[in-house]
Amino acid sequence: MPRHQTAAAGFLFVLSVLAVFEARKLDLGDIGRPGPGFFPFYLALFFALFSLALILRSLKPAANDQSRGQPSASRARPGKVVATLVALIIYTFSLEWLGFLLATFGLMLFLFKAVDPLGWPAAVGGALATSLVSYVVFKMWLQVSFPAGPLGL
Amino acid sequence: MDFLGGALYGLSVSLQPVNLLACFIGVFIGTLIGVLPGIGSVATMSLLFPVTYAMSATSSIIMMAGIYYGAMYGGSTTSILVNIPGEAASVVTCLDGYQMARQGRAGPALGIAAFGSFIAGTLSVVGIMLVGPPLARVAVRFGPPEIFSLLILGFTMVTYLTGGSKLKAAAMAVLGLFLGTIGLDPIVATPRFTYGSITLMDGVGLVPMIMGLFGVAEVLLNIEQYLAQTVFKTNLRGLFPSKRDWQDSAAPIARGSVLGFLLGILPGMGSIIPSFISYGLERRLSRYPEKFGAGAIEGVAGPESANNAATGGSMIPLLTLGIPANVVMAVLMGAFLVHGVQPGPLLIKEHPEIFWGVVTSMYVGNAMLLVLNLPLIGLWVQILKVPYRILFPLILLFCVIGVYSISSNIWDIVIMLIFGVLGYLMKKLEYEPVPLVLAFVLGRMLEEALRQSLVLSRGSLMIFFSRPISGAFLFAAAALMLVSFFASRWKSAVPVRGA
Repeated sequence: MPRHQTAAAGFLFVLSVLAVFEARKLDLGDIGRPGPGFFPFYLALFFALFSLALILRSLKPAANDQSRGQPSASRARPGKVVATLVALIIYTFSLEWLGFLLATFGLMLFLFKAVDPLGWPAAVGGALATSLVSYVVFKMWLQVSFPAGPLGL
Repeated sequence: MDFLGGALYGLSVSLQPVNLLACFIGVFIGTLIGVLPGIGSVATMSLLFPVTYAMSATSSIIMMAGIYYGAMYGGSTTSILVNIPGEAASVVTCLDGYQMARQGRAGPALGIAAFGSFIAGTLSVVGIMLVGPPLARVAVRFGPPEIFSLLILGFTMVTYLTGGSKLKAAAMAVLGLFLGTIGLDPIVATPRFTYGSITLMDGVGLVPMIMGLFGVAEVLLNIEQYLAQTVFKTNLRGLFPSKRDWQDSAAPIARGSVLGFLLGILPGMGSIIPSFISYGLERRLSRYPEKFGAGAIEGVAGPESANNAATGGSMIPLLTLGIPANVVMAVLMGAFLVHGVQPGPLLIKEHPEIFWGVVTSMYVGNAMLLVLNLPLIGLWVQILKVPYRILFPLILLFCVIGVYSISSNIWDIVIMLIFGVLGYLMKKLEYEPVPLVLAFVLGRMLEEALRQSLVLSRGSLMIFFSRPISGAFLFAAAALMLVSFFASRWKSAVPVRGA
């Protein structure tokens, strides 16, 4: 856990250094007439300071204590999280190409089958029902403009 | 407008059929998501954000507020029957509520939670009417230095009150402020950190951010840990508490209401901390503290009243100062801004129908909840039996649709997913998302106040200290930081027993 904390704080530090450099490209102005870069530049500096302090604290032996209270990882299922995220990313980029109905049916079928699997009839029926009902409610009733896709709906 | 005139005018607004319907939808959906673990009021309000575009400002805010306090009602049902808090603010209700259910007293536990919430909600509405207008009259005199210092005090309180590491909370607040600078500069409209992206020109959207941090992240955490829920089979007859139950609960409800309302006003407090403080207070005041944790009705009545009263209290900074006290209020502020209404000291004068209408709708909504919820408890129990493996794909789909429907832009979904992963990792690494979101929302206001103050003073930072109200806010912030610093030092200096 402390290594994770150091890595996270290190990531924040890298992010803050990048932010400092990017903010410097804007007009900072001066203290009597602050420009667009003034506020983000000083924020980025503060961010760098805080993340540096977090790195230093995570390297202290006492930081071990922070791992107390973490839920047991024995039943953790990170694979399910990754699978869900990948499905959502694929859904996002296929939405305009496949259209709302087909893409949503695919996403729902995957989620009903992949994480805590339902039987095929329940998964297919559930996916069909949710994609159709959400189409009727959001597209037809609430007039949300979803992409039509090859079905033209 | 005086108190009575305002209340009557507010009732004439909130009792209009369209507003009654908005209130009903809000409290109904609020109770539903409060009952269901794994989706909170923040995510739901964000989800319904696009729906409010077609409604008037008053109806939108009435519905959104209804979701918030409705969720507080619903959360207790899950805590009592399943021992899983439907809402974070109902965590403490699990302790005694579930024990009461195990002893066959689920009915009185649910009943006292509902009655306590109603009484607390009603008292907090009266509190808003009494405190709101005078506070707004004071706040109208605030200039940029006072606003800057008040926001600094707010951030300090949010950081101080956040559970866990203060340093992490401060880092997240600064990150939130930085994210708030993405988009066009508020004064000279120069693009900042947009890299040619049209999506980023308007800045990072509040809805994708909140849906990601609180909706997607919560689902990812739940599916990783496998959320098993079993509804406790118990007798649900006799929801009306007995005379003895009322005797035991009257004082905790009164104390919880006052405590919750006052604490709810403070930035960063939310509804969770008041419920815990109320529980601790009742336990300390009880003649039988050993009964707490074993089914004491006071342990349900006090915290449930406190968390409901806090929802009313937290409306005050938003309605009178234009400063959201917690993330839910930040979403509500977004709903105000979408309709071109700036919440703050001028709200009562410029939009009295919104201020008085929303406040009195909270009373109407609380009455609806009481009338509806007791007969509907059977329905909520049935809903609780829906397995999470069916629920989570629906939650994710609603998140995606909610975000996409704002501007039909798939990059908003991408932003939501990025914040979903960020929120998931933050939870794992014990970083709080609340300071990040509040800082993000208030960042623009803070920057404007800072830059205007510096221009006014020609670069002298003394402007923040020489003006009495501004100086007092900064003094309070500094005092809070010092107290926090020395308290943590003292805590780490005390040797741990048994170590």
